[in-house]
Amino acid sequence: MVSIQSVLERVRVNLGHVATFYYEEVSNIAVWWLWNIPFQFLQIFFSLLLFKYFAEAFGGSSPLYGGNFMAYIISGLLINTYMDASMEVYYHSIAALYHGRMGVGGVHLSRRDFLHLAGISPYVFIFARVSWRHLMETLTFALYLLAGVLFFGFHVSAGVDWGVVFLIVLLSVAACSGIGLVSASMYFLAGAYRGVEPIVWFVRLFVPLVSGIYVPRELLPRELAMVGGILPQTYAVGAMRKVLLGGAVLSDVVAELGVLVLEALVLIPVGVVFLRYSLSLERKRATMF
Amino acid sequence: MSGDAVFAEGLTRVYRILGAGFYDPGSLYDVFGSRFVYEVFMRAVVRKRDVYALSGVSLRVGEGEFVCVLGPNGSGKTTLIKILAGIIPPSGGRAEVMGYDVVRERDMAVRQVTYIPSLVAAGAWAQAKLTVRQNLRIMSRLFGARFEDVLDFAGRFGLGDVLDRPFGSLSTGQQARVGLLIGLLRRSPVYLLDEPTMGLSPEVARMLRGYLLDLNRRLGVTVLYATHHPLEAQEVASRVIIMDRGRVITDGSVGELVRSSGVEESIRLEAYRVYFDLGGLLREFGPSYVEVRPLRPEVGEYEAVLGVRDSDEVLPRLLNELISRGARVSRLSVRRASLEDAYLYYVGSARGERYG
Repeated sequence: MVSIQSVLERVRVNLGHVATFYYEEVSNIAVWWLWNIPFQFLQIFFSLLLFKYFAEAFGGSSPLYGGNFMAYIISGLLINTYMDASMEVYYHSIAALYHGRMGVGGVHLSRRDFLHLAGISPYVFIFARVSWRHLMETLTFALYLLAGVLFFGFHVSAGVDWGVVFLIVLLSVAACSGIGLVSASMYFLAGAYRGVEPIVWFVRLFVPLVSGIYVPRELLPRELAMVGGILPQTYAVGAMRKVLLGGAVLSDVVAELGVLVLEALVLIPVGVVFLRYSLSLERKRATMF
Repeated sequence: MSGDAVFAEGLTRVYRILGAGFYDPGSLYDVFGSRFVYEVFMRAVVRKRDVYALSGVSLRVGEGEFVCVLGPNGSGKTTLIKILAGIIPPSGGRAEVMGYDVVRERDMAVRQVTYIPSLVAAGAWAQAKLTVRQNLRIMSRLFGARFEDVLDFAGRFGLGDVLDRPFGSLSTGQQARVGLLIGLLRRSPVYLLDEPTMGLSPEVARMLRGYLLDLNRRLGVTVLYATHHPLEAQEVASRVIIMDRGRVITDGSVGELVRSSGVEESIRLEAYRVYFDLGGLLREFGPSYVEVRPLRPEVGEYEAVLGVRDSDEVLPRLLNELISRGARVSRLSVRRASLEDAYLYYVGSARGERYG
């Protein structure tokens, strides 16, 4: 029988390890972080500038964009920042965990082996990486917001419920994390370490086109609109626009949030099962060839 | 539970890899045009073959023993050490460390172990962009070691001057020392070392061996030390296990192994104007083992080592034969047999290369 005290102690120890992994992340980026932020801001600025002139050239004043093309685009990009990170960070965490493991018998050891020798679960490392990445995406979120407000006339609706915004972010991250976990399992299941990871590659192929981030879904043919109907990005973007631009409250976005909850409840367990199976397969094979 | 510090019975490790001769990434990959599809096809269809890294290895190491596992490259030493450290599971057999099964009680078994990999294997542990100090701070936190103790240890390993340099900028030897230091952060009853002196300068390698011997004698730590250098094993081990091609060939103290090999003396010679099969000639004298190495084959210059029972009986005939064939001996020495000779004998015998 496991006692509550031992569980709490284990949580405390693991949080200490997470803090150490955060220290490692900070140490890795500290040298160039302050240097990098202006460049990141400039990159965001110029990508938005491109959209602005694109809209002027090709009719961004369509009512399908709600009368404000830049607000339409920025609100979609804001939430997609998190969702894109959620999809890819698990795979990159697995890649970081097994980096260096090559050859028959894993002649070259990896961080995974090191964590085993230190008695640290690889899931602690994955949690640290994933949570850190989402913290960093908050910075990107802030930069998009800043650029939008300062230069592109982006104004959120008066009295926007930031609690609902946070809930949308949370649920969209959860749903996309399910995709991310399945993606991470492909590292070993499909040998994706040798090349392209197919799951996220496939999802990313459709997201910009069918989820409403750039193109109003009303413009799409029925088949493409149907594809958009199964992606969590579609509902997250829709809900975010309603809240940020339309002043919607929780009851107005219940449908979208409900779909996100459903997708999270399905995709996360599937992703966990896939990932655990792939890691057990790696352990049994002990080779990446 | 065996009662030994390290116990292995019938350990086997098999890898199933894509068969040779069918792997044609160039043309087949072009056909599929997609890495993913290509990989799925290769894994589903292509013939695979089994590679036995370990084949029925059984051994015991008592508590407080200092045992070396000696074998050539590819003999299975690394695989054995990694199975005992719980890094990879065996395909068959079982192993225990301090009474804990390395598969079923993996978490408890790993707590009994300090594992030091070779330089080649340890490279992924430290981060190249971070300084040595930063890397050590991270590792000491993860291993629960006091950072002040770690820094003190770093000074003893000659790393005091490089603590604030990026790990990636260090020389090979310095990186090896950092990897070693990281590995030694944990204190455990059993130390598993896999060619730990690779990349180390002689004085640091000696210091490491001295440190391990001190731990072994003073604290009764059990050491299982894998190496392919017989002289290194002879320096530290109370017992030596010789492996080749995934199997244990023999096991005993240095004296026992030398005596049982039948090699009493080792003859080393350098000769030139050798325009015949020197190895074949030497084998006619019935040595326990023969090793021939070309020095300058264009002028017929070779070096040979052979293990014999009695050099007085072999040398006169050997020299006569060499001279009669037109060769000249430029260097000749005879020494008493050491572990190196026993090792060459046993490995050669296991491969069917027995002449005596």
